[in-house]
Amino acid sequence: MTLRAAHQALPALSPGDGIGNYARRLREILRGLGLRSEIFAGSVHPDLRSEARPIADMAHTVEPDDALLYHYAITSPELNAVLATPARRVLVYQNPTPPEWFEGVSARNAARALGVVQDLPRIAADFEAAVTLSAFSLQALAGLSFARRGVWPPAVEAPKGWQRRPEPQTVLGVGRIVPNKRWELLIRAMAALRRTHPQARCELLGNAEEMGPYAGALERLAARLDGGTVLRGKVSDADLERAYATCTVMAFPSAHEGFGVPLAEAMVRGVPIVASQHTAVAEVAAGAGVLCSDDPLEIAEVLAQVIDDAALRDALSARSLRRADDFSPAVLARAVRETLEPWGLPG
Amino acid sequence: MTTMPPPDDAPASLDASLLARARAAVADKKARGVYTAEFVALLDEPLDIRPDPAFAAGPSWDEAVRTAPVSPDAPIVSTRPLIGPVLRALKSFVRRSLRWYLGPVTAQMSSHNQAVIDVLAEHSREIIELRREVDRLRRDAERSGGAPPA
Repeated sequence: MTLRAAHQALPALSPGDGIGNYARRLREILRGLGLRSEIFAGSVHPDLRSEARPIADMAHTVEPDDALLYHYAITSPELNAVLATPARRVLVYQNPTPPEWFEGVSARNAARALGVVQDLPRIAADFEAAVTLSAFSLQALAGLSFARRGVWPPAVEAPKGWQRRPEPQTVLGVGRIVPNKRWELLIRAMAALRRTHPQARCELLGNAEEMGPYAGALERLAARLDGGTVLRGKVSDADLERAYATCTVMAFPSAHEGFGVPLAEAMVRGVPIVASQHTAVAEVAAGAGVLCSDDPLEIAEVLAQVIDDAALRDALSARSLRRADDFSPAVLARAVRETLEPWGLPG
Repeated sequence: MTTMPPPDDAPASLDASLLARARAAVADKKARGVYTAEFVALLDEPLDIRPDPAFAAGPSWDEAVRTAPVSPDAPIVSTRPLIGPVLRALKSFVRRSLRWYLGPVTAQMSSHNQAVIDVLAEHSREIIELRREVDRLRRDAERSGGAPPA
């Protein structure tokens, strides 16, 4: 029997949220494959009411031959609603941050992350297929009983007419203010960079919600080292675009990523990238960014070379744009088709 | 299965030379005193995370913080049919009449609750730090081949 619908469920849909953005793009792809596709969410931000339906609607919308994709990043009651449907279930494993990264920083996030680690083996049997956003994340599913697996890399595009107008010696960090991102390495690297480039400055853009102890520690470190780094918190889309447009280089020192969407966002905009060598960062940034060790002095030197050498900046910018082709809607559509095809797709 | 293919080898060689230059530059700057030993030590200092008290205080911590401030203006509700609006008006009247008394009393209660929360937070952080210290000492003892402390 041909698949007619592939719906998605997730705990919450909010503006600027990576999983929500991914789900909305996925819906376009699924509809492009000729499938009916709705997003069901446990809570929906008022600005996105037209984008998703309440999770309670799922029970009378999803039919046995439909596919239901569940975005799994935290333990939440929406999982029970998903398991109660008769659909062919697909686990979209978002590879959340391991609980140890929240030690001392957020008891609530540590508990949620631990819940995922503990529940994953138990719920695996309830899903026919599982997909992740990177090959690295797929390794986390090794040994679990999914009949089919796939990698569905996010599709990222720059706004139409977008142009770069970099300002000198401007370093950008984008991502949540959470310990696994290791923004302290960037702050330390900036302090070192400013020994030879006193005009260098860094903007750090990211949501620090529920991460007060870590954000506070970063603020104190930035003040103590006088590293020219400013934590801007969560910013509007317009401010994020301005930051991507005006930065000289983006730094991404993260130690754990299931994918690392800011990397792809920077690539598609032709921003030179200096990144870590860990987890999915090494996979996603490979061929685009310069992958450094965790030594802030080495990071500072690489940033200095990118700042000082226009030819290197141009080469890295071209590499970013080339690599961005791997995170296009066409690539995602191909991956989705590959996973769902055995169930029969329309047309 | 779709995977993201690794790009060609050219970037790897460029990066290798770039990183080699960076490491040489670091060594040079250390030798020239751009990066002094004090500066390097400063960069090596651990991040000063003041822990989330909830780790030691338990799951009721958030509720304790939420309910610490006592307001004299809590919402007045009554869902009783017919007489509900009358009851709400009455409660509102009584509250307005007692505002001169309730205001200072709730302010004093809030202030006291906040002080208790601050003390508990400090104690919780202390407990977390001590647990970390115990873990560190245990690891050190294991590394040095001694029996870990009980």
